[in-house]
Amino acid sequence: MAAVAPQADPQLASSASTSSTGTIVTFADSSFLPGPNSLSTIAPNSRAIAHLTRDVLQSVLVQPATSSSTSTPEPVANLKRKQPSGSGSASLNTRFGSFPHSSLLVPAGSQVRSASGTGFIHILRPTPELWTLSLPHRTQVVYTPDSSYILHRLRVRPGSRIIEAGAGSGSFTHASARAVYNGVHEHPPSTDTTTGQADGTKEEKDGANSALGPALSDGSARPPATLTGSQGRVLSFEFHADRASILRHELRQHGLHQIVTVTNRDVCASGFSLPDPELDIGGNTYATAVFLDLPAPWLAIPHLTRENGSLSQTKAVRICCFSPCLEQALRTIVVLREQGWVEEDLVEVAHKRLEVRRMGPNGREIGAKSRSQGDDEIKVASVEDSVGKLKKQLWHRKAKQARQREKLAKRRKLDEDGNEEVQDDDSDVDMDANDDEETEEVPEVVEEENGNGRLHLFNQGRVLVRTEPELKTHTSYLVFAVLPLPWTEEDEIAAKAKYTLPPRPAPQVNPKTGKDYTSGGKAPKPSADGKLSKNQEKKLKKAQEKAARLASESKSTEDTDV
Amino acid sequence: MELIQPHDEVLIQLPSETTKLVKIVPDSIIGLGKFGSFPANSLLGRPYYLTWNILDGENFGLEPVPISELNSEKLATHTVPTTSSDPTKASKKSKATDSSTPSGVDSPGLALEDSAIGVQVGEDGEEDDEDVALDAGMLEQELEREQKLWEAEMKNNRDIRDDQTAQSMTWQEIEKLKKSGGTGSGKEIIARLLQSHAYIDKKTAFSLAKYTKRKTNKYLKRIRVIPADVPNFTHYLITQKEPLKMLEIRDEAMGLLMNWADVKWGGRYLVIDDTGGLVVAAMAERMGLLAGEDARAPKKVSSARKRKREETDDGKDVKEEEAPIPQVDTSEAPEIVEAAQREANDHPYNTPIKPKTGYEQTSIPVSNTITVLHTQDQPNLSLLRPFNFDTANLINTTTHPLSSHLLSLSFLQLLSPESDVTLERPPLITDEVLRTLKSVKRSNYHRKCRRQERLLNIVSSTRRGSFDGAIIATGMELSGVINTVTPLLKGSGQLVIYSPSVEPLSEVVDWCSTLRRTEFMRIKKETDAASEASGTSLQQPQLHVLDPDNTNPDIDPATLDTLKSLPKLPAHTSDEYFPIDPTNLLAPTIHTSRVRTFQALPGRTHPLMTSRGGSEGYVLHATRVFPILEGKVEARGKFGSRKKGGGGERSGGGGKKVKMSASLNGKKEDQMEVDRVD
Repeated sequence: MAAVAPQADPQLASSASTSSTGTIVTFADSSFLPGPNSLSTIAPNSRAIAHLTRDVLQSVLVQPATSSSTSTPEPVANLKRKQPSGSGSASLNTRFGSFPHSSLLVPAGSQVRSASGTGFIHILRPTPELWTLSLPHRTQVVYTPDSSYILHRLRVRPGSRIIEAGAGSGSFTHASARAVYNGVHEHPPSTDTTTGQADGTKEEKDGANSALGPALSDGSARPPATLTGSQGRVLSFEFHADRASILRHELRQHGLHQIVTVTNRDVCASGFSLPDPELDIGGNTYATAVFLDLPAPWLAIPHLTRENGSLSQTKAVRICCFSPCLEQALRTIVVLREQGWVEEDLVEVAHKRLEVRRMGPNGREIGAKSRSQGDDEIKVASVEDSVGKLKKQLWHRKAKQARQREKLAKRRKLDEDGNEEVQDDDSDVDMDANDDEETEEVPEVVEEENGNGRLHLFNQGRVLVRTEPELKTHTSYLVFAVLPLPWTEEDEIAAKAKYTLPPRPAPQVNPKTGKDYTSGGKAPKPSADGKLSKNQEKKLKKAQEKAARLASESKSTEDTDV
Repeated sequence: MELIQPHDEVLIQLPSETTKLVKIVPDSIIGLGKFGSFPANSLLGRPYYLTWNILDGENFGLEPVPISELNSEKLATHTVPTTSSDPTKASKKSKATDSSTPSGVDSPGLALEDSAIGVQVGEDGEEDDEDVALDAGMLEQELEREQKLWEAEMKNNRDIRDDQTAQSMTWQEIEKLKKSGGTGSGKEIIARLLQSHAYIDKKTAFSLAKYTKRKTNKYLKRIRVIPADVPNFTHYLITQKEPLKMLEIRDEAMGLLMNWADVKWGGRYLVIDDTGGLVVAAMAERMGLLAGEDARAPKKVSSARKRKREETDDGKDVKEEEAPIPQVDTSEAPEIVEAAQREANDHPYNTPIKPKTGYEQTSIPVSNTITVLHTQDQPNLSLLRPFNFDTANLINTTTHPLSSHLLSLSFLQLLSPESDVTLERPPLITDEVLRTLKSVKRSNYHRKCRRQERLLNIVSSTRRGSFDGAIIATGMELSGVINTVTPLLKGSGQLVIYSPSVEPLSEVVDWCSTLRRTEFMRIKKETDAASEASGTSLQQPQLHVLDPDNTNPDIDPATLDTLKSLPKLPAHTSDEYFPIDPTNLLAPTIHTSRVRTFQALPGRTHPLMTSRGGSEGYVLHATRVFPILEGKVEARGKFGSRKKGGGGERSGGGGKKVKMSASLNGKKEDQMEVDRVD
């Protein structure tokens, strides 16, 4: 039911007709996507993620052993940007040691030992989520809880076209590139597929190894005409020229440049769909989904129309605006309403990451730093424990007092002998002894032991859950809306002609009860020849009988009442 | 064009703010209970997301409500200029929406503005979206507007008495108006209601808007038709159907599941789905398996099947008949399969499974597949039915992309296929005999053979593992599920688990705690050393060993041979302390996400007062990794030796010692790693 008719834009009709026969669909050469590079081994010249700890992930562009000397400076020197470590050198330096790139060419997911052998990391295949956690920040990043929800609500599917304005650090760009990806669709040029692919990989290598020429870095090195319209695309706009070029560079490194088109343009001023040589699908974007991460999305929204070709001609279009302030969101909604969008929805995503600990039997967290808990630790595990302990103390005290009394009595005896100095010393000793006794009083921990007689500390107590120490309580307000397809009176008339209405059924009124079934769904439907089915007749009869009975009953009750 | 087609299932939003799932059968009448009914044909060929008035009486049917009118009602409650005050904008709006019927002054929202809220409608509130710049003038205007808004709100309900007499219009009058039918009756009722309300001038703008909205919902029979895609369908299920059956999975959690599991076109995924197929549907949507003409509702399934049966009756070979039907779906062009096979050659696990006796549809695609693991004989995927995919008719029907890309097998078929019934192959019937058989028997025979072959292929490919990710949404005990699923993931593949409550997931994280993992490694090292000393090596890859007691005697030897050649699944025997192998999963993390919806009316914006409670919904994700097993012990030795020292003391010592070793070993992961570097 949710099936969506295949893209049949009139503008794309020519390409669509050939796509059924002539289009070649190949896997993109990207470590982010399934295909030759996503095999289990990390390939040279591809992105990998070094997992140091849960919170510390480092991205690394793994270089082949041979090209380590000819590493190239990235065109980002003018920006004060943290260089992704390892991009310029042949080894990845982390706080757990140094890892030569040759040691990283292992099956993805492997644990890798550092050169010195003391520390180790896990090396992972990149995903948009891992990349989000490890990418160099240029602007505020759209994190996974938001981006996953947005992509879900925007119905971004393989083959979709999504406009993203305000590409920023490229986090959302990667996530949406994965979502729209449905292979790289190409019209067969004069050469066959295999050489085409070989060219692609060669080009890829060139892009990564040699200094990126200006021609290569714009993401449209391939002849634009060969890409077809049925391919999923991310149409990314960024008004900051440097950020746009860095993003292009990254996407090329990641092999996503055939899926994402980065355009350096201020969409608020110039709109989305100017004839642009960089848009290799003919200038018009024809998007079905729009994501605006702009300071003033209400300025860009009027540029989003079907008439100027920025929005799809054949499908409903969904939009999401990402604004940190409520005022921005409200203003956006007003403009959306004015522009004829419907189903507007203002939401906020509250996301929490949870931490799991274990609380030991004596109220302390196993696995937490006990140093930080200070001196006032809880030492008793339960009420019984506490009462029992205090009771024990009572008897200790009583015993002590008894002892002391005994001693006093003794001393009194001695006093009679006139010896006073010994008394003090004796009491001191008593006190010390008492202290020792108390420290020996230890709550008896139920200790589980393994076969070797060791403790299984990790299995004691109970599991606790709490939120991460630093919570993102607000990211942004999300404004969603849908732009339905235009529907004119002429369309309505045409549709009426195509799907003629059946003659209005005669009003079906139950003769006895007088109830009108016509508008309800429960009306007994007459079969084709106008007669009621046997079952329906039976039911009707029953209902009539019942009504009659009820009527007579009420009559009789009335009579009796009178 | 994305239009409503015959036999589509759609969701209809009713004025009562509930939704109804309806199948649009041509020439039928769709009844909406108290909201009336309309012919299905008046929706066919129309786009989604339009709003319709249900017309009663003479012109029985639906009438589109222009979007400009809908939105102007919302905008009207504000000082934002509306169509009436700005003719240029009105023309622009109607152009944008292409609704040629301009919203008239008779619309209740506008009438309302003229009469009651007229006080605060300021022409200065004009803002032109073309040249909005945040200059000082703008700001001033805005402040002024805000001020007026507040003044308007200063009106309060002091003079409004709560009694029945406020509304002087009687229900008889309303009924009479209703009976008169036609387009305008609802609007007329509302206008009259507003007129005849005693305190209408005393109402604040906000309460008036609320009143109007309530009356609009009651008397204007407006519906909106939205497509039943996964998010809309999820919302429908969770608010109106049985949310427990789909584990109360909300869009937020579904989005997290899909993203963390890295679900994408071209991948291979393993699913355990107790949501009745909703998770599978979401994955299929992300993999392009619900799109395209093939995923549409078959015009008439029964007739198609009948036709097929008739064709088989002609005495032609069934093989020829059915071969063209289950072709690879169009969403994946044939070229792709080639590319995939090219890729597959590089990878031992991806070798395409070749059909043995030439039943085409028994071979399974090498990529873009969803493999469902289920506990019963059949998977419960009933919620896929609205997506035009019915598991009950898996073999018989369809050209639906899922029918070739959705692979299902039970835990028994995965873990101990030799005990399964479906792998029995019917006794061979030669072609000569086959030709003499009745068509029903013949097609039955072929169906059984095909089913057996397909299952065998599914079992082989699944046991070879190397899945890109796995999604688990189940109420089952997780340790067993994780032990089964994890070895089948490829390195760096994602394991994602959904649970309506946090406790099962927190257990899983605890099973992978640093302390536990360290202890596990230590024990493993010791046993490995012991086994090495005794001369047995566990590292060699082994083949599947059939269960001698429970092997189905009716499985033919060829199949058994295939089963024997399958790789042995690495098994972890779970015990009290180590329910799962804690070294296989890296950094399991639990997320929970909840969306807070706002009422978005400027001046009246606030989070919704109530929303659905129940389960929060938690998502755990972890990465499949390979620990260093071979090599020097010192890799972990530095850490291990310290642990050993602590342990030794501990066994002799009392409680204080326990405390100390806890602080030594029980630090957070990253502190510990820092220590290791030292």
